[in-house]
Amino acid sequence: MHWAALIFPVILPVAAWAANPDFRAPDFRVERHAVANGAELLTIFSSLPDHAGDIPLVSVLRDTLGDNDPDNDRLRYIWVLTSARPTVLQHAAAFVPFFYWRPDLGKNPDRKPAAILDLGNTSKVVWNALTQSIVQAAAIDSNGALIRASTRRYRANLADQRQVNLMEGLTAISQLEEIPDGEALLSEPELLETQARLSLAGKTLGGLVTTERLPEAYLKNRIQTEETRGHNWELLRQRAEANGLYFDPLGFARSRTHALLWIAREDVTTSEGQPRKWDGRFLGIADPFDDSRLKNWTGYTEKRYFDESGLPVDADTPGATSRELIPLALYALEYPKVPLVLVDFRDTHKPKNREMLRLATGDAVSGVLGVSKFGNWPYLAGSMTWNFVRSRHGDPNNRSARLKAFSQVRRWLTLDGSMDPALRAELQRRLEILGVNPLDESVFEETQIAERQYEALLRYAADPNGLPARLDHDRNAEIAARRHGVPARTGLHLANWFSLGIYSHHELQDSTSLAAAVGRERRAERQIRFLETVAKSSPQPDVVWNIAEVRRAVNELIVTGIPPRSVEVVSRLMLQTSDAETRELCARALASIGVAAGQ
Amino acid sequence: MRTIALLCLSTALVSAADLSTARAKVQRVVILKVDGLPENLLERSVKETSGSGRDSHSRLPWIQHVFAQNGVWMENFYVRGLSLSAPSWSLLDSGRHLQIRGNVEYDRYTLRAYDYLNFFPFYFSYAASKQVDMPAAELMDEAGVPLLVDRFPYQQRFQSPQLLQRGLRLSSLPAALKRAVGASSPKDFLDEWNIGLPWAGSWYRQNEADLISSLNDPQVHYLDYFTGEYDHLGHLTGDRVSQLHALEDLDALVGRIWNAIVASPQAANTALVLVSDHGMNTSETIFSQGFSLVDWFNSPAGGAHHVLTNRHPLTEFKLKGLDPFVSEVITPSPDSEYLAGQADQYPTVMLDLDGNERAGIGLRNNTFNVLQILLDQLIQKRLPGPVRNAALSALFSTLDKVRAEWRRDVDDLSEELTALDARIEAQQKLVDAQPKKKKWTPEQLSRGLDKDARREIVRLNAWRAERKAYSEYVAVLWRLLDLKPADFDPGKFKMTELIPPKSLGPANSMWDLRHYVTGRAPGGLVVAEDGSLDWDRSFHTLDYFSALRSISARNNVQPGLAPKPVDFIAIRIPDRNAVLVWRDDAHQALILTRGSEIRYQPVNSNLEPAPWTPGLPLELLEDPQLKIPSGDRETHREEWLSQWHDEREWLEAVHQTRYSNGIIGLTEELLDPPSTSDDDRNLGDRYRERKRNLRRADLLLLANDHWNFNVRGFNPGGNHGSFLRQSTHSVLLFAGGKDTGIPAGLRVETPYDSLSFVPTILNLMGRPEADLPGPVIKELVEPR
Repeated sequence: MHWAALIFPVILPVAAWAANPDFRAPDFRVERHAVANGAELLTIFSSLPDHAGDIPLVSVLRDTLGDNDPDNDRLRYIWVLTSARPTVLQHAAAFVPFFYWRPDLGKNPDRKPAAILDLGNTSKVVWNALTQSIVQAAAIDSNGALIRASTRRYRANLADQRQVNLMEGLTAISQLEEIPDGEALLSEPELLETQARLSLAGKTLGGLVTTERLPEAYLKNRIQTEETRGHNWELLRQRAEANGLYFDPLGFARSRTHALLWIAREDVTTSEGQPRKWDGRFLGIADPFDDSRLKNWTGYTEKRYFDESGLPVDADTPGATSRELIPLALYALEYPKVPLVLVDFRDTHKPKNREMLRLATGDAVSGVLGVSKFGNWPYLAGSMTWNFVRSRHGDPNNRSARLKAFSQVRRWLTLDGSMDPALRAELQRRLEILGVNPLDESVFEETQIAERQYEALLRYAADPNGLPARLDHDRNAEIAARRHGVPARTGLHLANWFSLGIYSHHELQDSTSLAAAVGRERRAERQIRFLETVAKSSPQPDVVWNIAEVRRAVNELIVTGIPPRSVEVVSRLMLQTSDAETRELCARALASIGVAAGQ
Repeated sequence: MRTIALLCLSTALVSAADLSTARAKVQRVVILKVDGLPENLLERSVKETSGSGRDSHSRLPWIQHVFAQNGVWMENFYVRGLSLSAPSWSLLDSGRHLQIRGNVEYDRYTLRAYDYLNFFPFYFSYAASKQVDMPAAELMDEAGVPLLVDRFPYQQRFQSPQLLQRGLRLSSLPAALKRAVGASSPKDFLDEWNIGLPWAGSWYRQNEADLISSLNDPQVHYLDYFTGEYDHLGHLTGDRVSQLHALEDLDALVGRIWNAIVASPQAANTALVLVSDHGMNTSETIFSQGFSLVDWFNSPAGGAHHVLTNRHPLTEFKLKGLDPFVSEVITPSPDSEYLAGQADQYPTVMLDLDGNERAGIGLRNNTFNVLQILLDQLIQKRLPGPVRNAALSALFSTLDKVRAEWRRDVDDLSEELTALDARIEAQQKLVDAQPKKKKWTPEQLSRGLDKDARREIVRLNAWRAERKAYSEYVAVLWRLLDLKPADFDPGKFKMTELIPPKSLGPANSMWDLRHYVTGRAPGGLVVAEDGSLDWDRSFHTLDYFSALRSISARNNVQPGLAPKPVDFIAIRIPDRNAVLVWRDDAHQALILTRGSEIRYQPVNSNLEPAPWTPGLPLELLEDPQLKIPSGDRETHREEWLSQWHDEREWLEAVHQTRYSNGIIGLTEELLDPPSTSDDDRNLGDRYRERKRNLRRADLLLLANDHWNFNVRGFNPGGNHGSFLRQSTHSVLLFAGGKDTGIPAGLRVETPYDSLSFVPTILNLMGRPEADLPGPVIKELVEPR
């Protein structure tokens, strides 16, 4: 996938940031584990600040077809190892309407982990979700408030859990960009595809985006995230400035994804008796200058030093003055439009109460009252107007973005060793309270879960009927998708279901022949995609692309047998290029399947 | 006979040969106008190579191919004046000295907003047949300054939507909409839906398609295409990947247009030019920090003013912010002392914050403040006898100080308005004489006659509105100036009848700005021992120079950023034809002009010459990049800097310094260019000059690097507007077909500024105009 070459040469040099004294290289490593039947598991490990050794975070399956040719490799499954399959009790709790807590209902850390994404078939999740929604609306909602509310809550909990896992996976995989030799672990196109797919998977129809548009999706998402982060960074800094608070951006490695607001103890005490102007807009916290909790604060504080211009300096800097700072709140800076309060140090339950209120309102309206946006136009219009006005005024009403902020901060705090351990523990403890989904794991148990999930995954990979068999099945499906249209494939699926699995269609029984056929298809697919990128990118490819690469791709197609679907792109290239040799090669390619040049 | 015939033939052949050599090599020009594109970023990106599949190719292969390898790359092309879109494009598009000095300007007397960047009202007014040109183009017409596009008859030009736009192709709008929501297949639509529908992109792509289609019309000799996409992104993020993505889009655009030119009938005689109006200080490692001058001026520290801006502060968080027609927003001060609750009538500060590395600040006339405070006390309050007497006496002594000057001013204005009446009458006749046809023939439409006709109506309406607004101001001023102690009865007048509402009045002097009355002192009016008003104890005053420079931020978490948002202040000293640049009383200087010569003179608090010292505004003395012509740089530097030099000498010496051509830019921005003598001016000229001066701000505030004054939203990516080199260093590239004579692979190191753009294009096209003030880029046009 050569299109990634357009983007990544820029991304990877960010390793040069390591020269920046503020930069702390993330302590990541990737372990490769060979899987029978021609594949490998790539697992991202990270050290933990308060844990000996490192923990596995995410595993990715790369189907290599057992050879060393990267042109026919394909990424398949992604597992987030810090989360295990829920227990029966967790499932049961997830059914309970208005139950927004996370009691200890057991774990399933030794069960085979569930992949959060199949990169080979991203649309499956979309169709499943749509089918569930239709069934919910058509068959379940009419069975009374109890069934409607509980099933809707259960589906929402499942969706939220998946969303959290997707974001955790994305957070971990994104860190590979920061590793200087990250390219050796996951190639540039693989890294791009994985990140784009993980972020798209959180959208309702995101799984339907075609592979050709992934670079665009990645870039748009990146631009939006960068813009949001900068915007919120400035918004919060200016609000802190206006209110006499201290702004402290934080985040993993170079990404300043979060920020803490502090107040100087002397400002709290000296404001006594003198009303001080407070404009809490966008801050989401109460006036700290008139707060008895801060006047008698015994919680976490930090002593910091500042020069006369207010710049933080070391304690031994001449002229430095010290101030004891009390933390007020932690904010997520990648939340759309406004910084999102994740932790309020004076009122730990406030963010959770807000979250519960939002969920309860939704559950009451759609679950209990059965008012659906899509069946009730006035409600749809009213709801849209309300949400528009609220979000216009900075109300954080984007549930998916809130989940992202929550999972991002959890992951960052778990891994970041640069923060004062006491502050980290304090933040983790307060964030833990935010959990409203019975299906989620506690952050304090993640290490143990991750290690056992990884072991379970290795067992699954070693089992001949496990992952190796799955690979065969997937490759068959891949070939079938190339050889048969949608109706034929649907028929084959139906035959499988109606025969209760007795009939199972295999394009090729023999694994070696199957791998060879899949390899050919993938190489051809890769070359076609490359040539399509070349043809689309410029009216004259010779100026933009290394023409030898273009020739190599056309030649490869001739060697592997040019598929009919490549006729259009080869013809187009022939017209566009001014290179005689490439034109001749294109003519040969077309002639090999009986298309006359110029046709 | 035969001999005569041969002679005639010979003469004809020679004449034909002369004509042929005289004929321009460039017969068609295509200009890509890229807002905010910094030269250094483009240069760096072109030099980078791509990865797999594109090894050894530039990341911007088309720009490399078309301009670097087969064209001319101007290495040192600079904005003249502020690095700000409206002024900069107006200068680039006209080749004349500045008429527009900010992205928004306000008439001091009437507070009429000249909002040059607001496209929406123009689109709607155009659709409703109430406007033909964007406000910037209207203003240039009013000033009698033709644009480059005006050199070409209507049917010979294709102009894309831009700041100095004439007309609008309404048919492009539905086509662009179709591009945004239309998709070739359901699969494509789903992709678009998930990734985001390309609303803005579709508008640009439609303009591109229109331009490419016009390339096939042999009649069209001038084409331009404006894009603001890079500028928009650059303000929002400094992320390298995002920036490169925008540059790659631009590169692909260059490729598509170049290929369309090559395939068009006049390829051999077509020149392609890429130009940007300014750079930007976008950084990958630094967020640009904002400081709200609106909040500051609202606060007691800033004088508790009601503040006028052209957009809502924090637009995105207000429902009112959705209003695309807004050009005037007053943010009231909750702390206003004598104007509490009168924000709508008496805004006392106007801010032009666009570009964001600078701010144009206009304060209401200081004497208006004093008069209003005293009148307010006399009209509304029951003052004790001695205080009342003192206040009354102070009112009239204040009035007496300005009476003669203001009376002369309103007399002159009245005279000019009378002349305007005559012009209105003539214009009315012109409009009346126009054919009253609803349908224009295709031939007339193709010649733009419908737009010419509408233009005259728009002009007539604008003059009428102006006439009315100035008359109201004059009427109030007359009433004020007519006040006499003998017949003064406070109960007889309303405040709005004596102090013009929504007016800043005459400009402030430097003294006014440093002793600006913001309200009564906390103890109210105080009488001195001699029975007069004790001015020092009665009024609260602010020194705006010191107050603005002393602003500092506590939350300055990025190392390397100055704790103070304000770098220096610049004001015009009209009587000395000079600009004062001020950092503090120990670091200030006058930039003096003499014809086309400029001199930088450090001064003390009395504006008398002072010795050179490091830390003066523009930091010329200590800048290692200062390149004085010859001799021992260290010993001669001070001497050279103290001398008069013409612009060319200054530009060559300073263009690579931290503040680049700031010394020239400040004179362009704040002073008038050398003009014809006063005797040649008629009333119309005087009126135009008055209007130009009324649009001037009192203060120009320059931000420190990576600080900005944006209040509309947040610009953490980068900003421009200052004289810092990264903001002034712009892009100018040329390439041409084989018969254009434009050299291939030429890099020009000689510095030039925006004034050279139009003369060079006209020269390339064989249409030189001798009276244009800027030099032609000789490396490009001289025979090689």
